[in-house]
Order: sequence, then structure tokens, then C-alpha cells
Amino acid sequence: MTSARKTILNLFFLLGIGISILDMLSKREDFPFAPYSMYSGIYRSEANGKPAYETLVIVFVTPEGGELESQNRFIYPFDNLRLMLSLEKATNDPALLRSRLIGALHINQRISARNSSVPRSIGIRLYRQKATSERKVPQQTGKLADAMLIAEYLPAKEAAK
Amino acid sequence: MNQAETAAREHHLAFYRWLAAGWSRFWFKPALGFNLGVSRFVFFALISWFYYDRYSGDALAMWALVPDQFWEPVSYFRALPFLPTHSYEALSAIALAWHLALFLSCVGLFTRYSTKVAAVLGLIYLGYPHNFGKIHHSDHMVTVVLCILAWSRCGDYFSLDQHIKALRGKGSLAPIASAEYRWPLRFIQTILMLSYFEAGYSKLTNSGLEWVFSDNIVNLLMAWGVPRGVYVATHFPMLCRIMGGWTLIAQLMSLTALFSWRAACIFVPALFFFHVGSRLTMGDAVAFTALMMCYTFWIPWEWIWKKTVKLRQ
Repeated sequence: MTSARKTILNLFFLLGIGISILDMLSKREDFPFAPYSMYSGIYRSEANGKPAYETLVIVFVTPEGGELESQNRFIYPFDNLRLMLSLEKATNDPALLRSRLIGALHINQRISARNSSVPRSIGIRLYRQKATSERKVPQQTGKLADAMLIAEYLPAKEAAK
Repeated sequence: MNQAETAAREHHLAFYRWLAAGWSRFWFKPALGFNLGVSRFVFFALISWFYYDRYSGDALAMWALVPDQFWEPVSYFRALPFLPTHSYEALSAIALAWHLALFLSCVGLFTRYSTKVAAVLGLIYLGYPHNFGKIHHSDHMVTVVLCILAWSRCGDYFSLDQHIKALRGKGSLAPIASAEYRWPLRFIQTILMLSYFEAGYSKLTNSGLEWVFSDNIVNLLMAWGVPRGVYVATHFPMLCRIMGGWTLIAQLMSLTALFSWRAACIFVPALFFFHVGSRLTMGDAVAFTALMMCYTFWIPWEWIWKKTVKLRQ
């Protein structure tokens, strides 16, 4: 091994280790490096011992008017967590949030057109819900319980206006 | 300069020499290429299977159909505006070329080039989905490993290149010790263990020991709602605290595995089985399967091979 290659490799090592440590101390993400801080917070419990935290819930509105909670296969290649965070980042910008909801509905409609096992939807709603281990999962005909509506996009309703 | 100053200077110089020698020994102590070659073969075989199985078909290209308003470039993607984003055909071609490069790297054909192609395309293939809403952490280590192997001579052994060279009379099948076969393993091991140390450090700085001693793990398992995890949380809350404590210890002690074989025997399997436990109790969302594949660089293939040969005799 030549000394020049050794020097370059040493710089390579220092760069890799340096970025890792920098990300750890500054808590920032520089893909493919990260501070790996997932699950480093505390999950608090309510008085009755059940965990409680607020979460966004994405639901698709069925042609019958029911709500169906989003699943990964409804929004492929997105997954629920990615889409949820993508929408959460836009909650302070109504225009962006609306355009993302429209985008999410289009993704779902494209998937349901290709895949018959994915139910057809005519709208999308975004809720904020206090979640517990007994969180009520909406059925196809039901409505999401104990949740606050943040935004919705129902093309038919908007056309009727 | 008086005598005391000279002695102090000598003392400092001796320390720096010792540090430099230790650094050099850590990265560049000559090793045989067998471990690196087998690790390369196993790693590329595993990730070829995993990513083909997980993202077969048009998985990467499907991102091109996601509306532009979701695109939030992260890391090096911010500096690469020329990338063929939102082009279904370009992303399909990248995926195909990447899988081909992985296969060639696995069998060790044109390895010097195929590993470089695998790394460059891997940066796009593995990084692309992270530009939509959230950075998931399962692909990070694979991306780093691909970049490290691209710089290495991992195709010198246990590869078709080696056999082709030997047939042409340009090389030998006999193993030769070189620093080139040590540093890639060391670098991968270092970054892998550093990632666990970072995870432990984050837990300690964000939550302190409350992360272990409170009902945190119980609540986490209940919140995820996987039946097996809920059962453990309900019936064995103390076990949850013990497992949480052991996880934190293993993560904070992970770097010792780089310097002590005994520590490596304890903490490397402990960290591996931490992922197994997480998957069993929290489901596929925390699988980190791709990251677990990087543990192949911790397996002492040469030692296993020698033991196997001995047993056969």
C-alpha cells in the first residue's frame, strides 16, 4: 500500500467517523449518517396505565361515506409513517397541506385502479387523535372516534359548492 | 529549553508515536483476504435477495409517480439537482443496473468496477425514498458499507476475478496478507458500532435513565400493539426494564467491541439479538433487516473455515 493511498484512507476514516460524531452531537441527519435517536424519548402513560400520545391519522372516504384508515398498501410506494410526517410538516401551510392531500388521494386512486384489493375512495381526511392501546380503529362503515379533523379533501363536496 | 521542558516534550512525542502506531495497527495490520472476500460474497448475496424481494418490480420507479409537492430533498440530494427525479424510465434503469451491479459484486466479477457502480447507484436507490417525508434508518448502514467496499479490494479473494486471474497466470489462489484486507472490515465494524453508540448516547441525553427505569418500554410495546409485545408488556413489566437496561448498556459499550475480542463476543451478538427481539415484539416496522445483514463483517469466516476443516480431518 502506497503512503498516498494510506493518507487518503486515513482521511476517509476521519471523514466517516467525524460525520457520525457530528450528527450525534448536533442531532441532525446527513443520510447515510444519522444520530439514531429513534425511540430515545419516553412513552408516558395515563393515570390508568395506558399509553397516550397524539398522532395524525389519515383516512380515506369510501363511496358509501364511511372512513377507512390508511394502510401502507393503499398509498404505495409511500408508507403510513412517511405520508403522515409529510402531511404533519405541512399543517402550518394550508395550501401545501391541501396540495399534499390531493396528491395522497391521487396516489390511492391510482393504486386502487391497479389493485382490486385496495378499496376505492372518493376523498381523504386528516385527523389528530389521542391514541391509546385501545384506540378505536375505524371500520369501513364507521367514523373515526375521539378525533379532531384537521383537513379534508372531498372533490365531490367541493364541486357541489 | 530546560531539562523539564525537554522531558515533557519527549513525553508528548512518545504519546503521539504510540497513538499513531495504535491507529496504524488498528486499520492497517496485514490480514489475509479470506474474511473480506467471504464477507463481500455473503453481504452482496443477502442484500441482492433482500432488496430484490422487497422492492422487486417497479418499487423505485413508483416514486416518480408521486406528486412533486411531496419531494423534500435531504442530504446529498439537495446538491444533486441534475438527478433524474420523477422519471419513471430513468429510475427503472437505475434499479435494474443496481441489481446487476450487486450480482456482479456478489460473484466477484469485474469487482473493482461493479462495487463502485453498486455504491454510486446505491446512493440513489437507497437514498431516494428518504426524500419523501421521512428518513427511515434501515438503509443507512448498507449505503455506508457499499461506499466502503467500493474503495476496497474485496474482490481479490473468493471471487471469479481471482480464478480468472489464476487461470491467466497473473495471480495466485494462495492467500497473501495485506493491509488492504484489514481496513475495510475495520471501517465497517467501526461505523456499525458507532451507530449503536450514537443510539445509546441519544437515549441517555434525551431521556436519561428514566428510559430504562420508568414504564417507557412497557408503554412503547403497548402503543405498538403487536400481540406478542403487548403480552410481554402486560405480564412481564420487569423483564421490559431489564431488556431496556441491557440494550442501553450494550449500545453504550458497543465501541469496546472494536478493541477487545471478549467484548466483541458479548456485545456484537447482544446488539444483533436486540434487533431480533424488537422485531418479535414490535413487528416488521422495526425490522432493520438490511442493517442486520451488515453483521456479516463481524463473522470470523477464516476461523470458522479452519475449524470446519479440522473437524473434517
